[in-house]
Amino acid sequence: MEIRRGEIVCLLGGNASGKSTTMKTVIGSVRPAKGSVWYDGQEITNWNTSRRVAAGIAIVPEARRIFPRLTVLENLMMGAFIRNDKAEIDADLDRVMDMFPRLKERRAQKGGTMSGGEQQMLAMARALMSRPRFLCMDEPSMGLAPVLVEQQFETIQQLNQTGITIFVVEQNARMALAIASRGYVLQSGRVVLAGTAGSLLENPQMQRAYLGI
Amino acid sequence: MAQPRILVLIAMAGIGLAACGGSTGGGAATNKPDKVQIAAEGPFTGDQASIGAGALKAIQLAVKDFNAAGGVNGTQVQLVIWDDQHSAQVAQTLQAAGISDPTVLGIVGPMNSGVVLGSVTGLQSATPPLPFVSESASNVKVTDSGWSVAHRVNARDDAQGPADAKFMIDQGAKKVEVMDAKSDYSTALADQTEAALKAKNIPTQRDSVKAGTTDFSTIITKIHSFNADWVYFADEGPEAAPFVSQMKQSNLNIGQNINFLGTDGEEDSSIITKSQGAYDGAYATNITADPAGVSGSAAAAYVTEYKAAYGADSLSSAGPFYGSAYEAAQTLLQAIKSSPVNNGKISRTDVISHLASDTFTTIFGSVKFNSKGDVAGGGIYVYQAKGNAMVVLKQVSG
Amino acid sequence: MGTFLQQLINGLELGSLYALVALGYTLIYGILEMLNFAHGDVYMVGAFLAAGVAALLVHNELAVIPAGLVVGLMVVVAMGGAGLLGVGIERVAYRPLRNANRLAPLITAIGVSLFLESAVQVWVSPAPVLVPSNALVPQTVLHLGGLTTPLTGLMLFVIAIVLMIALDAFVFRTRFGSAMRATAQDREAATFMGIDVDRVILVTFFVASALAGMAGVLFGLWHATADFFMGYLLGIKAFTAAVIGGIGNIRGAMIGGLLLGVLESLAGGFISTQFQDTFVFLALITVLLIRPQGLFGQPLTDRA
Ligand SMILES: Nc1ncnc2c1ncn2[C@@H]1O[C@H](COP(=O)(O)OP(=O)(O)OP(=O)(O)O)[C@@H](O)[C@H]1O
Ligand SMILES: [Mg+2]
Repeated sequence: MEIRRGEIVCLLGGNASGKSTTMKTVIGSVRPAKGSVWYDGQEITNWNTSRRVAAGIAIVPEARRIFPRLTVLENLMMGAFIRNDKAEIDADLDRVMDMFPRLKERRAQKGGTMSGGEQQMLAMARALMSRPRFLCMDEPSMGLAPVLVEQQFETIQQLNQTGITIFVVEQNARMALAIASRGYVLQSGRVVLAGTAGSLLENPQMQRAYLGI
Repeated sequence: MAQPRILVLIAMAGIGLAACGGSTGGGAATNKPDKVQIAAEGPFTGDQASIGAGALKAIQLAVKDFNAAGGVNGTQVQLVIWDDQHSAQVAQTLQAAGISDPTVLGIVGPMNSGVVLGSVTGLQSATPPLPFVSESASNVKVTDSGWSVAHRVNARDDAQGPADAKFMIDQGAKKVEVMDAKSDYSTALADQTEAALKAKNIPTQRDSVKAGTTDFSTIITKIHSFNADWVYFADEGPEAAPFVSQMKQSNLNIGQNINFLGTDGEEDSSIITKSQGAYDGAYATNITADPAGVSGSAAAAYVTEYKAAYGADSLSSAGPFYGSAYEAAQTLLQAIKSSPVNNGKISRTDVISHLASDTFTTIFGSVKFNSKGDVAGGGIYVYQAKGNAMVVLKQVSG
Repeated sequence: MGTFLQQLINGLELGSLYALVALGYTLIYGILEMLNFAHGDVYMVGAFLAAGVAALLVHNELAVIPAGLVVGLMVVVAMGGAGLLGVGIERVAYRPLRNANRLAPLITAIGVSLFLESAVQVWVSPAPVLVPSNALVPQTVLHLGGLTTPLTGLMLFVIAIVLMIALDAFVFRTRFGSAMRATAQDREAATFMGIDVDRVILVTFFVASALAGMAGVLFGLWHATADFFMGYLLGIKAFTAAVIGGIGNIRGAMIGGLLLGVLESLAGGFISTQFQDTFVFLALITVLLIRPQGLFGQPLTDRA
């Protein structure tokens, strides 16, 4: 699997095919038994997560995983945990709050008391607080109303336009392929299909299994 | 061939005994016994080794001293060591060897009441019965059950409560705070003392301290509002130092506006330093005396000797029974020495009758056993904290 | 009334000791969801370290060392030593079991507790040792109306409150404190943030244990003693306080500790010392029946 700078790449596959595990291998909370992870021309297989986060990798985890009893603001500050540039952090705070005005309104509220959509925004904003260059997103549309799903995908595209490379896992293959340049399909932990978004959309096997055609 | 001959000898000894029973044994003094053994029994290893080890050393010293003074008409007494490990079953096995050997004339020990009660029938039903003098078994049943073999030099459990109460009353107690440490032993003792106080119309207030308690301010406030002039604490020691320190912090000064009587374990002089002197003037009672705290040249000489031999000279280093163990050994050895010797043999039956009738000279003065086997007129010992030492004041009974 | 207030003061002083130790139970439980049964013994070791420093420096033959300096050293050695002990216990006994069945670390903790008690009993002293508080802090007794307290008792109370506020500020106002709370709430998500969870856990153990060590020093100065068994009963009480307050909740542990001390003192003072603990545990059961999560705990359903 390979993701190039500036791309949006999506990872597709049925339940328990290994998508989240792949993401965790990238961020470093799962160590591969075989194979290696490379980033920016360096092998990072043995790096711990802090080092990877410091190097610009961040994750919006599956099911959001915000800290329920930290306030919105504290959650965001946790995203910036590895950074020490106070002034820049404050600037980034303002930036993400402008991007997600709901978070600004609710900055003092406990994360766990927010709605699913708000939590998803928070998870995204939190990941951005580490100033990632490579952002992994595990099912960012899960549990969102259709309108919000569209907003979400727009946001992903906007982020990509600011220069962040994006690796996104999605159940909603059609929407994912609509914004991605390329995609991989996993089955039982193995890549069974790979190619450009267009080629995948046209692949008959793909159409049968994931696109409901 | 050897075995039948021994049997014959034993039979002859038996006949000789029957023939001379009750005789004054006029020729005894000139008659040197062939072999004399006594046993030291106690928990010399195991969970109670800290109690047993010091006692065993004391008994070894007693035998050595006795032998140095001539033994039994020139025969050296041999000491056999029975380490019962605080188990009646182990005790029975060890005692069986002594029961079948007529030259084993008595036991110093057993130390634990439970061991006595679990093995005494074997000693009593032996022919002849095998007598013992315990230095520490305090359960009332040890001497209340009518066994002729049973003797002890320490005080009985039921002696302490009434004696403690009487001591406080004699000292002028008006209102007593009675405290226990929540163990079976301590609660029973506090109950007895409280009952004896109440019988003399002394008002009491009762409190309990759980093992491991380190803050006593609640109780101390209660002592203030109760206006007690005496505090009685039936405890084995560990709580005493912090408790009296906190009394002092709260302006209850022992010997000035309050008196303090503790029990077993609280006659430990280290409490004085550990309480930064707050314990000075406090009293404590125990079922045995610390020879180091007793006035008298015999006790002082013994303490010097024990220290020279083993480097220890106080209850906390030599164990609580290093005095009573020596005393018990002295009574047994003297009874053996007074017993008649016939054909080189001393009978245990004679040892038992001498234990019952003789008066013995010990490091704690004259000792005589009453018909039960308790020390006649014996009581508990009162200590007082004076300066850096615990001094034995006197012996009292209820 | 006077007696009531006096028992209240007694209870608050004892309770502040409970609270300091309860904080440790709650911090560690909060972050690992494990009952660090050995925590009471860490307090005991702290008291012995303080006693050791005092024994070496007070009445030594070489020089007269100012009491203030000795007390300062006692604090540093006891807090540092207890803190390192806590870290060592975590590293050696608990970390290898972090992903094991929940029972395994509890049993290990009981083992560590027994080990510490036996080690001190055998290698240091089976009998209580003296903390020469006479030579270290003024033995003044303060009087207010009919009420009294030793200065050292007031000192215990005040320092305990200050430490609790400081800890509260550390956990709720600093970035590292937030990281601790994040780790407690979702350990894996905390790693996603680049938080070194192992380090957070070690620091938590250090802080919890250092507070217990400080409690040991304050106790020694207050009551002039230390013994190998002192952490057992106090540990159980402090744990109870933490549960009453809501285990995992820092402010709950503080309030729970004070409440338990007062309750115990009043029950002993006005009902009976023989059944004191019965009332204390009755209170615990009542609280748990009405609020299973404890007075300040999160409702149990709130765990995301
Ligand atoms: N390469 C692999 N080798 C072995 N086991 C794997 C591999 N990848 C995933 N697994 C295991 O398969 C299971 C499911 O993995 P994972 O959670 O990554 O699936 P998923 O595709 O994210 O599923 P979902 O769509 O439900 O989120 C997990 O138990 C994981 O440990
Ligand atoms: Mg998944």
